[in-house]
Amino acid sequence: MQKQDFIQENMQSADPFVSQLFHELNDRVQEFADQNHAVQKIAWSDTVVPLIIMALITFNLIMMVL
Amino acid sequence: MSKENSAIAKEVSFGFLPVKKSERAFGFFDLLFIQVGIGISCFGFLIGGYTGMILGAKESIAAILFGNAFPVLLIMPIAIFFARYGVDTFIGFRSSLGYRGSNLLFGLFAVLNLGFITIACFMSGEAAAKLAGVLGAGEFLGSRSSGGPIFAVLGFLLAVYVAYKGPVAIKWLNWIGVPAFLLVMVGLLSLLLFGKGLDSVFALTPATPYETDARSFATALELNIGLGFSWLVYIGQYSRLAKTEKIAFTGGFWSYGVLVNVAAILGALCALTVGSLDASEWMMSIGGAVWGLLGLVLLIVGNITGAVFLVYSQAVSFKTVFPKKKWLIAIATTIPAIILMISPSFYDAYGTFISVVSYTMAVMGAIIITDFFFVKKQKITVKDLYNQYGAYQYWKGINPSAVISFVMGTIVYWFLYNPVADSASGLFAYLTAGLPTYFISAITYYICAKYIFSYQADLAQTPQAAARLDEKTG
Repeated sequence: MQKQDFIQENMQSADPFVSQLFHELNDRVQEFADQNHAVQKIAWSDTVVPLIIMALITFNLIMMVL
Repeated sequence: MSKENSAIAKEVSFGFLPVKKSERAFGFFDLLFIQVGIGISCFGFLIGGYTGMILGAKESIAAILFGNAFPVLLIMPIAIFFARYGVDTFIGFRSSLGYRGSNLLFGLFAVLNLGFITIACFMSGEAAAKLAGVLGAGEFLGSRSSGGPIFAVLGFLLAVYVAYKGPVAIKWLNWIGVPAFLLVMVGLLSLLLFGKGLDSVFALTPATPYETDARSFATALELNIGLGFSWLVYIGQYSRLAKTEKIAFTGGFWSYGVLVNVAAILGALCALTVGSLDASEWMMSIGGAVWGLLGLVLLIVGNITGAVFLVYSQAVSFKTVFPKKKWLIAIATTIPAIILMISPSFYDAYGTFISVVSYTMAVMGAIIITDFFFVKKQKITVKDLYNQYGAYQYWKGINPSAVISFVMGTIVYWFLYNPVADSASGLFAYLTAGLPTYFISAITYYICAKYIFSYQADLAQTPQAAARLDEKTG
C-alpha cells in the first residue's frame, strides 16, 4: 500500500499559498534530517545559575514559612 | 497582494515552518527583553494584587518569587525542544499529544486566551470608566458596572482592528503601548518609594486574609504558581528563534521566572497600600489627581496593547495549526471574548480563572516535559511533526497516555483544591495543588507511555529506528 504523506499531498494543493508553503516545508524537513540546522546543545553546566537562583528563592520561602 | 496581507502571509509562513539556523536572530538579551516586554502585563499586576490582599509585603514577595520561578523552572526545559527543532508551540506539542491532541490543546489555549484578552480589556475599560467619571461624563459611563464593559468592548474592537491589520500596525502600537505600561510601573514604584516609604508599606497588614496564615500563604502561592505555569503555551514562539539551546533555557527562566515578577510585586505593594484590587483605584489613591489621571491613560493604552498581542498571537497560532483558513476567520476566533466582557463578573473571578489555568497547564507541562526528556529521550523527527499520517498518530490522533495523565491530574488537583468554590483539602496548606498535580501527572504519563501503551513513536529514535518505524507505518 502506498504510504500517505501529508506534506506531499499539500504540495499539490490548488491554493498557491499552501502549495508554496509545503514545498518550502519539504525542503526544510530534509535539511533538518541532514542535521544542517543543528544549534549548539545545552550542557548541565549551563543550568547552574538558574538552579542557584531557584535555591536562593526557595531558601527565602522556607525562612519565611518557618 | 496588499502590503498587509503580504506581511501576514510572511508571519504565518514563518510561524508554520521550522526555523533554519541562519534565521535564528535571538541572543540572550534579545530573548530576555522581548519576553519581559510581553510578560510584564496586567496579569502580573492582578496576581500581585490578589497576593497583596491576603499577605503582608515580605510574605507576598516570597510567594510571588517562588510561585512563579519554580513552575517556570519545571516547564522551561521544553525551550530546549523548540530551540533544537525550530518549530512553533502547537506543532511541537504533536509529538507528545498526537496531531489531534495538539489541536485540542490549541482549542483549550484559545479558550483560556479569551479569558486573558477579557482581563486586559476589562482593566482598560475599568480605567476608562474611572477616567470618564473624573472628567464628568456622568454616572452611567463613569460606573464600573456599566461604563467598564462598554469601554472594555470598545477597547477590544480596537485591538481586533489593529491585530487584523497585521504586524505593520502592531509594530507602531508597540512603540506606544509597551513604554506606557513600563511608565505606569516606574511611576507607581517611585510614588510608593518616595511618597509612602517602603518601611510604612512593609508595616501594612493585608485587607482580606483567610482564616489562617497557612491558608492565605498556600492560596497566594497557588495563584502565582498558576501564572508561572501559564507561560507554557507561550514558550515556543520565541525560544525557537534562540541561537543556542542555552539561550532559550536561561533566557526563558530569567524573563518569565524572575524578571516579570516585578509587576506582580508592585501589584502586591499597591494592593496592600490601597486595600483594593482595582488597578485604576491604585492610580488615583497613590498618584493623586494629576498623576492618577496620567496613570489611568497609560493603563488604558498598555492594556489595549496587551490585548492586541493576545488577539494577534491567537490568530497566528490558529493559522499555524490551520494554514488553509482565512485570516479573518483566525481573527474572528477571539470575538467570543465579548461575552465575558459584558459584566465585571469574569474579571472579578480572575483568581478562579488563573487556578484553572494552573491545573491545565501543570498537567500539560508535565506530559510534554516527561515525553520529550524521559520517554522519547530527546529524539524527535521533524518530518513526523508535520506529516499528520506519521509516527505521532497514536490512537486516532490522540495520545492515550496523555489522556490518562490528564484525568489523573484533574482528580488530584480538584481533590486538593476546588478553585470555583475556593475550598481546599487539609493537604492544600502544605502542598498547594498545582505542583503536586504536575508531579503526579508526570509519573502517570511515564508509566502509561513506557509500560502500558508503549507506541513505536515512544522508542528513542535513532535513524535506524526511524527507518523501521517508517516501514511499519507505511
